[in-house]
Amino acid sequence: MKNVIALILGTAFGLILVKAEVLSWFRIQEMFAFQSFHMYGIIGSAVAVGALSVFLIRTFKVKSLEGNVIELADKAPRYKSAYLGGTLFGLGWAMTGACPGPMYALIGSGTTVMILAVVMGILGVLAYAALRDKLPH
Amino acid sequence: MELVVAARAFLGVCFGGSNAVFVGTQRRVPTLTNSPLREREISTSMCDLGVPYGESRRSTFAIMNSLVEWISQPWPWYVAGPIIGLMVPLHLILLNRTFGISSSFRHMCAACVPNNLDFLKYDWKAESWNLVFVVGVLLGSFLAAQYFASDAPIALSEAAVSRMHDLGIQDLSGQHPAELFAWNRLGDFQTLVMIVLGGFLVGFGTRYAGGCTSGHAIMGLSHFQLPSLVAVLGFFTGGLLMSWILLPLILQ
Repeated sequence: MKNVIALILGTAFGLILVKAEVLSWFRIQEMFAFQSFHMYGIIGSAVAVGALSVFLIRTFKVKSLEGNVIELADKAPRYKSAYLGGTLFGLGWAMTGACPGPMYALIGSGTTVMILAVVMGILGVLAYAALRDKLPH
Repeated sequence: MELVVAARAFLGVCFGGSNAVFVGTQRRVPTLTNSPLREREISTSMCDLGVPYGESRRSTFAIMNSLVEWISQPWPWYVAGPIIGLMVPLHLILLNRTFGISSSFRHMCAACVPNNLDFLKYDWKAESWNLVFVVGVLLGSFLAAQYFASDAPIALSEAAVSRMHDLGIQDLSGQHPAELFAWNRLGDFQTLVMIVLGGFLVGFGTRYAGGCTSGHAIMGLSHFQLPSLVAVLGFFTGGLLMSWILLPLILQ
């Protein structure tokens, strides 16, 4: 059941990423150059809807499909890693023109060379796992 | 236009069916003794609207076509953004999980790469829904490109178009620059750096930061997490540095 839901949500998400041009390298460059409102509008309105939903879920103590009251755990308060890791990710985001979701969407919509970017991303995780103890968090 | 006609016919059936039949009867009405009333109503009201009889069945296809046409248009931000935002409650309520995609890299790493690292010793199978979500993204983007594609190039702002030309990118017809992101360009220094190093940094950076655009920017900011805000500042530090300073050097 969970897998069926995940598949449907993923399909909808993939469709949106293509149709709203979120997966486009051009759009990402345009965003970082502050030359269009498009990407800011998407991320901003997504956060607004997300925040309103979280507020409603908390206020009305909405239960999940599994039957338990939804509780959101706070993110670990590690600010150095958030900033440094975020910066490294930002460098990669502007280079590939894609964060992980759009990478998959690019592969699905025909820019199959991004398979290589995903493979490198997996190796990036491996490198992080190996270096984790030596990095500031 | 077809959609408007069909919609008016539909409304006629819903709200003024008998009247539509009556009005139709006074004009060139075909005798339809055997057909069900509903269809007769639709077809007569179509007559009323100047659509020749026989178009009623085809009008169903017209609606479908209009729908496909409508989906195929590039979606404006105020449609796409809120739907992406809905991923947050849908994940929480239906899956009892938080929204985030970069974790899939970690799961694939834990599943495929033999290792002895603590960070990768966890039950990734318990999070396999996340990989199914990725399969969905592949499917959805495939369908979008296959059945709902629009031929129009990405509607970049004029400033962005001229900046692309300044960077030496001429072909702006696709979603990604075809002259950079293609298998047969992997021999080029630029392409190799952008895909190989770029992909590596995305994987490394998201795990170091603990999330990507979906997990930190959308999910994290939605419940006011300070680490997420710090991470988003990091995203922009790196993105601006790359886009403004390093990328022009790489593309030279």
